[in-house]
Parts: sequence; structure tokens; C-alpha cells
Amino acid sequence: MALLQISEPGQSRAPHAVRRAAGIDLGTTNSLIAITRGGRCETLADSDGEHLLPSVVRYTTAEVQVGAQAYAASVEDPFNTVVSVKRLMGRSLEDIRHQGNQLRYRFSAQPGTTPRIVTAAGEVTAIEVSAEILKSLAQRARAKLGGELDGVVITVPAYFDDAQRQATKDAARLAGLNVLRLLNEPTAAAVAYGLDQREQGVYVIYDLGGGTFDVSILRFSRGVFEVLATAGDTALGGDDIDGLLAEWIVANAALGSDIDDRLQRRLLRAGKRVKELLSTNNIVGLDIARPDGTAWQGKLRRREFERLIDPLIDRTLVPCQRVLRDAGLDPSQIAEVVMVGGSTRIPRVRERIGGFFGRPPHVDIDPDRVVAIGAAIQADILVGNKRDDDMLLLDVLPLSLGIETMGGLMEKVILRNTPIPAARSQEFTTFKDGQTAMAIHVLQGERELVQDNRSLARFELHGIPPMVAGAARIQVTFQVDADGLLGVSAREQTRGVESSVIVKPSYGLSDGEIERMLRDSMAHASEDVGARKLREVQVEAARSIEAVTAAYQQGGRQLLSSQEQHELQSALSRLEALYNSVDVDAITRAMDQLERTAASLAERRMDVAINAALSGHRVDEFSGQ
Amino acid sequence: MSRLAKNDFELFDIPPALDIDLDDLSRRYRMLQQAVHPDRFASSGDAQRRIAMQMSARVNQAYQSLKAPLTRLRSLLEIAGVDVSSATAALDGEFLGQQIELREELAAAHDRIELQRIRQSLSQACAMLFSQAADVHHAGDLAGLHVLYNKLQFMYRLLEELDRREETL
Repeated sequence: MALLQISEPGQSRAPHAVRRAAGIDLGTTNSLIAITRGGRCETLADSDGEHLLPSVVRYTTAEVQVGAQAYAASVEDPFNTVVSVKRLMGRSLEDIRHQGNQLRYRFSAQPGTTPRIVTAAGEVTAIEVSAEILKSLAQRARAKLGGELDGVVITVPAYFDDAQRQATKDAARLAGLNVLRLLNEPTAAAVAYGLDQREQGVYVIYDLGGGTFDVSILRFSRGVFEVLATAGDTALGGDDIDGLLAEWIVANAALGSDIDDRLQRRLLRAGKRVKELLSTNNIVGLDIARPDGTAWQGKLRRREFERLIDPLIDRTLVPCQRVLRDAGLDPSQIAEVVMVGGSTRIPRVRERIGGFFGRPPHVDIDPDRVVAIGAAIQADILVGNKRDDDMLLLDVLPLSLGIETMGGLMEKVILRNTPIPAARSQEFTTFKDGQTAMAIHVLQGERELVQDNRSLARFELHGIPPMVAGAARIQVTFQVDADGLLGVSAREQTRGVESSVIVKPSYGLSDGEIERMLRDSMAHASEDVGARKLREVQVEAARSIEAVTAAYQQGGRQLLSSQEQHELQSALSRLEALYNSVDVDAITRAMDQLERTAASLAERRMDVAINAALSGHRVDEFSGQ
Repeated sequence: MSRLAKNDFELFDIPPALDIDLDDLSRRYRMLQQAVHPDRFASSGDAQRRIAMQMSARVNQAYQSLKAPLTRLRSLLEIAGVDVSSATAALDGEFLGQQIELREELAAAHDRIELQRIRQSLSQACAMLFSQAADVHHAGDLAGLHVLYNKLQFMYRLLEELDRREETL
């Protein structure tokens, strides 16, 4: 047989073309960006040498400030300075009120829409605030790598639901970043940690950050990280400890109930300082200026601090129990417990978690940087720089997906801890004669009643062929991609008609809103919208040509008939002839045509890859046979 | 044949049986995902990535189904052409009587120790049914296999009820 050259994906590119990629840890309190250069990973500092970027954005009439400068202003200008924005991502006003009122912004009151924070520079959504943080980080990587980034990996808490993940991806889109993957924070930590140690086994990653908590169990074996189970609480973290300490000060300093927003921010900051000092000291003194001009001096002992925070630590033990049960393991089967997130610096947290799992936790990695490093390693592989790397991350769906059924109940379609990507189909029928549309309410969560779960979206199916009631068989397919994001498609089975699906996200932004924001942001940057769009399409077309050419060279002749080869060649030349033109629509059409033509080659290459995998060969061994 | 059309056992290239080597299964799972996962095609074209996602989802689903003995048994029945979702095999009175007793026992249990004891006896009963199922499958007795599948479904429902009770304690 002639040479069947199927190489590993991403091996086709010219050897010298190193792509620019970065890993971003978009944290509640602090954010970080890391890159891989010459096989080494590093987090990037700003011009002052600071690696951690405080996740704080201040909006003034003159400018948008991000990081330390904004943080410094957060006490004197609380309404225009957004802190801990991650807790607002993908959330409704009701959710935010539910989290407690430690942070008080002025929200514009429009129930049922994305909450908007009123600032001196106008109303902003959590997505826009996060986009500012991302832009500021990306700037560091651009400066260091000397050019635009080809792609980034952004980490999210494993327990983030679909709305929170979508909001994160939207923020990246607003920041002009190409997201290669949303990566779960504990998985990123495991990558950074596991690759260092090269130890195989089952790990627990306990991640208590500024505002989110999750715990995951992973198995690492021959380059594959397999998440077995994950659980958590996306509104629990170090912020809550600061809040408890602020309450403690209010009670002990007899500050009464009349706490204005500046004082509240001041108290939170004092709480944070006390918390940090108590990790190394046994007693810490406090000096608080009361609004009436008098001062209060007090002290807090570590033992009392621990008594205060024990209930919060208890709340993290419930998910710990659940992951063990979901993974079908008991603590004796765990090789190591790895602590991630700034809040795991607290000795009491380490002590309690060590007690729960029956072994001292692993704490000798920098809990702040490990997530960004893991993301950078993955970004480097996904962008195509590390071609022969076998590393693969297999994640799970953190929360069950389901639909609303009769009586306000949720019927689960995909269960939590199902490995992703995942797809499940469910059949529906019409209940009226001639019905041509129907609505499906998609939910995420574990509870039985619709109202206790998170409403993700309402899908409207249109174009159902008119039939008598109950005759139509509409198959709705729910698909969760590797990022944990949901997609829905529908098909009427008896006639084979594809129904169109219109998504109305319950929270978050519609595509139209994102487009508008992109236009607005470019209007500010005085950039030509049309030119940018054209450039994007050209880049995409070039990418498409490169990918299809590579796929064709690696097996096109063997896997396609001469007719198919001819069709593929002509679709390729059509796009090649067009992609440097200025006609966005024509380029897009030629690109779609090429992708359609390339689909059967893609499918056959996949079959070859599977056969090779199971016969114990690496795919690239096939070249030369 | 396209890999999407193959049954779970064919996809993993293992003989259709109730007794399988779970370590080998998970090894095959990792090898398959290393070949098809969308992350392996992050810099490929849209078509290739879409197919990778479909294949990866299919491999995940087959793995989930092969990994757990009850769904593995179900797959065996489906491959043999038995429609397990609509038809239910007739169960003997003795078994149904036992079920009622077990249910009452479960309802009367009020502490973890008792629940733990019930769990142990349920697990033993399941193990026995599975071992019978393996023999019956080997002998090619589909009707017998179907009966055992339905009995195991009853047992699993009891186990789920047990989980719920344990959580509310």
C-alpha cells in the first residue's frame, strides 16, 4: 500500500512557526497570566514586577483603571470600583442578593435581564468588567511574546454552571481573545502539579479561592488526566471570611447598624489583613476609626478566628464527601490531596482538610500561580506548539442538565459528573393539531423543582411540519462540548425536517448584545469595524486552508475517491483565490463550502485514528508502512 | 462501517460479554479519547473538530455504559434485539415477595448501621444475580437474561432509595 501518512493533529505546520499562546487564571480576588517559552512556564509581571493583578476595575469619567490602581481607590470610590466581579458572572440580580450584601453596587433595576452596575462611566455588566481584566493581562503577554496572541486558555471553577462559563467566554470575546479552551481550575492545577511529579494515581484537588470553592478527584495515568467527580460552591471563598471578620469588628467595636459603603469596604479590607496575618501570627491587633471620629482598638487571637471560620470550612466538607461518593472511592484510595487557592494558606483549613482525608495535604506549590501555569501548558499544546505531547484532559459536567416537564418538575437529561463532550437525545411530541413550534426550558442543577434549579435558556423550536397532535416526533439533542457549554439541536423524525432553535439565555448576553458591545468598544478605540471584521475572516480562512491542506496531505489520496479529491481541490483553490479579497461574504461562503467538502475526509481520518489507537499504535507510526 | 454506527462493544473492540476486564476497558477508553478528543484537533478545521466532538461524546457514552454492569447487561440485550425499554419480563412471585420485604426493612431502618447492613445484603444479592446473568448469557438464554435484567433493575431502585435515606439521616 502507498504511504498512508496520518500524523498526529497539529503536526503539519512548518516547524519554525511557534504560535503565541497564554494561560489565564481569571480569579475572584487576583488574576494571572502565564506563558510557555523554551519548554519553561512563567507567570508574567507588570512593569512594577507584580505578577498578581488585583481583579478590580474602576470606572471614572476619564478612564478605566484595572488592578492595583483601582484596588487602591476601592475604599474612597466604592460604587465605581468593581471588586470580586467573578461572583457576578452569569448571575441574576436575585442570585446576587442571595449571596449576601457585603458588596453593594448600584444596579440598574431591570428584572429578568443581565444585571448592570451603574458607574460614573455608564452602566457595565460583569462580562464587560471581566473583559477589562482580560485585556490588561493579555497586554502583558503580547508585550513579552512580541505580537498578537493566537489563542488563550482561561480557567474557570470546575463547579461553574453553563451561564457562568458562557459569561466567561463572552468576556474573552469582548476582549478580542481567541479562546482555545475553558479549563477547569483544579484540572489546570493537576496539570501543573502532576507533570512536575510524574506520579500516577488518584488525586484530590481542594481549591478554595477568593470567592469560589471546588473539589475534584482526578486520575492521572499515562498523560491522561481523567476527572472522576467534581463538586463545590461557586459562592464560597476567602471573601466570606473577610465578611465574617468585618461582622466581628462591627460587633466588637460597637459600630452599630449604620455602616456606609466606604466603611464597609474599609472593614472588609481590615478583615482581609487580619486573616492574612493570622496565618503566621497567633494574635493580631486592630485599630479602626469610627465614623464619629473616635477610634477602637482590639485584638483577635488565632483560636477565636478559627472558631469563627470553622462553619465555613464545614461547608466545604459536604462537597468533599459528595465527590468521594460520586467517584466511588474512600479516602484510603487517594494518593495525595493538593491544596490550591489563596485561602488554603490558612493553617486551620489545611488542618481540617488533612483530618478529613486522613493525610497531610500537599502544600509546597504556590497556590496562587499553579492554576495559571497549568493553563499555559495546556494552551501551548492546544495552539499546536507541542506536537508529540500525549497529554489529554478529560473533564466532567459539574451539574446535571435537564428540562422542565409537567407540574414544574425538572427531568434530568445529562447527569452530573458525566464525562464531556457528551450528547443525549430526547423525543418530544406536539399536543395540538397543526402545531409548528414548541418551547423547551433548559435547566441546570440537582433539585427536583424547576424553581430550585438554575434556568439556563428557553429554546423555541420552529418549522415543525403541521400534523395531528401527538404524531410529530421531535428529537432534541443536547450536546455539551469540552468547555462544558451546552448546545441544542432539534429534528422532526417522521419527516426528517430540521427545526431551527432560537436560544433565549436566561442570564448573560445574547449574540446581538455582544456584537453591539464589540462595536461600542471599537468606536471608543476609533477602530474601523469593517476592517476588523475583514481581518478576522481572512485569518479564519487562512487557518481553514492550512488545516484542510494538512488533512489532505495526510491521507487524502488514500481515503478519498478521485471525484472527492477533485471536489476538495477545487473548493481549496476557490478559497485560496478569494481569501485575500475584501469581500467578507464571498470569503465566508467559500470557507463554508470548503468545510462541507472536507467533512467526509475528516470522518474517514477519524476512523483510521480510532483503529490505530486500539491496535496499540500511535497514529504517526502509520506513515512509512 | 462508521464508528458511530457500531455498538459499544465493537467500538471498544472487546467481545460482548458481561464479565469484562475493567482495567483493560479504562485503558482502551484513554487510548480512544487520545485519538478522538476535540483537544487533539484544536488547530484543525471546523468539520474535523465537529466530528471529533461527536466521536468523543460517543466514546464517553459507550464507556459509561460498559463500565456499569447493569447498563452493560442492557447493551447485551439490545445487541441481541431485545427491546428492554417497552417489554418487561414476567417475574416470579417469590422474587416480588422478597422485594416487598426488603422495602419494608428499608423503611424501618433508622440508623447508619442498619442501612449499612441492608446495603451489604443488597450488594451480595446483586452480585449473585450478575453471576447468574453471565452464565445465562453464556448459554444463550435471552429470555432468562431479560428476567435477570428486570430483577436487577428492582434491586438498583432499592439501592437508590437507600442512598436517599442515607443522605437524609
